[in-house]
Amino acid sequence: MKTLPTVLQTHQAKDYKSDLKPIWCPGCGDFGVLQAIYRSLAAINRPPHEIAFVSGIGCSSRIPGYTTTYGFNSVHGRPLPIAQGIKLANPDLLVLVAGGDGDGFSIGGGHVPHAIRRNTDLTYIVMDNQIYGLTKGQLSPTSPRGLITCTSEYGSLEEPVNPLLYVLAYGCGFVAQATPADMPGMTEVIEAAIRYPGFSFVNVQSPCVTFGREEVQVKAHRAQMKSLKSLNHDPTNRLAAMDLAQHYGHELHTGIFYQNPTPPPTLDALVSERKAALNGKGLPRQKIFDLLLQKQ
Amino acid sequence: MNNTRAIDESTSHGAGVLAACRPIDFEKITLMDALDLATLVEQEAKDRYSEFAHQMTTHHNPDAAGFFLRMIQIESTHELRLTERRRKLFGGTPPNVRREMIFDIEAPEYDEARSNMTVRRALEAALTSEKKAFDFFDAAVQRVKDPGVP
Repeated sequence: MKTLPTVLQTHQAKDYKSDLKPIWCPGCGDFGVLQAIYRSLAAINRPPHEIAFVSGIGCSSRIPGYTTTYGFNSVHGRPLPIAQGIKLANPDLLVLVAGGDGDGFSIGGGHVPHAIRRNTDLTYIVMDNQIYGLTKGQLSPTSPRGLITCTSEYGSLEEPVNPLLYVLAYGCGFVAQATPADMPGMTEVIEAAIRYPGFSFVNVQSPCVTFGREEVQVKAHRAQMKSLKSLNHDPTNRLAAMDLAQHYGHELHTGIFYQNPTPPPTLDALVSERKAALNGKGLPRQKIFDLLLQKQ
Repeated sequence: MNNTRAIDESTSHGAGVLAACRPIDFEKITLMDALDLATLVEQEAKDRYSEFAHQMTTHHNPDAAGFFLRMIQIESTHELRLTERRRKLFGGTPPNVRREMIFDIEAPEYDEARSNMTVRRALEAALTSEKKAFDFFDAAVQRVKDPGVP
């Protein structure tokens, strides 16, 4: 008797694992995120050569090197514009973007709203540890008020950025949060984010084991986390998602906050349509260069 | 884009500790599936200890690295025994379970490792993982209907 689903997959998680071994601090939350990404990619079942992984700078931005996909460990805060360029140049690629909270919401903060409003089909995974770990523990944009670090000796006076509310407010079509304390849950949301046709955002609460506070480590997450499914949250209700997102920093909600039930067309699809409509009538690239040079 | 799902979500998910193994329906599991699952559990633990050993070596902690290398040997022995039994009973029949279906059943969680961990702490992490695996199999066996599995 057949008791289990037939194995249909041609790709396994190990196929996405490169020979380069991570050099993160032992206990880092990013190890779990990497495993969840391998498994999500195996579930998506696309070969590594059809995937491009772009990152910025920071501990978490080392991720592309640990995968067998095409990878670009790019410029600080600039993975989103680079990833959008890659997707527009080759819409058939599955494009993933990874980075930390500093890379995404401080140095690269200005790129996030534009990536969202353009709705390029990308998946942006932020490993949010609320600290600058790579540079030895300075205040980051998501550090809570009062946090004592080497750059806030008497405690931070600033309110943190709320990444979930931020992206929801800009109209992101898919918003989720995960933690390495729930590996099956994290794998599930990353896979769902990749499958979403449009810009998708996953905020992973990925603790910094070296500079992070004890109360935000994985063990504490296990006690604190509340699955949105268990709260009977309707992920198609954007206002309910925004209401829940306000608890960022105080409560750890995991799962899909919002998923647009009627995703609008992606920028890459619209560009392809425009190209087809022009039917070769657009100016050739060389002609554009010539015109630019003439103007100079 | 190929959106084919290999994992059938229609099967019932386990509760509690069994949630670490998705989406296997333990009520329908056969002896072959159980042996394959147990082998994967040992492989996962072996691979995690291998990662930990590398992490400890990278972070200049040879004592903890040595302990984790020993754990790799132990888990490899378990894996070998299971593989042999499976081969004798079911030969080369393709398995129904995949590594992607299990999450840290006997493997210590990544957050158990610390760059400065002592051998004692490494041993405690391994012991916690063994207990975790015991709890998993104990919960699973209570759901199993096939009399050949337990």
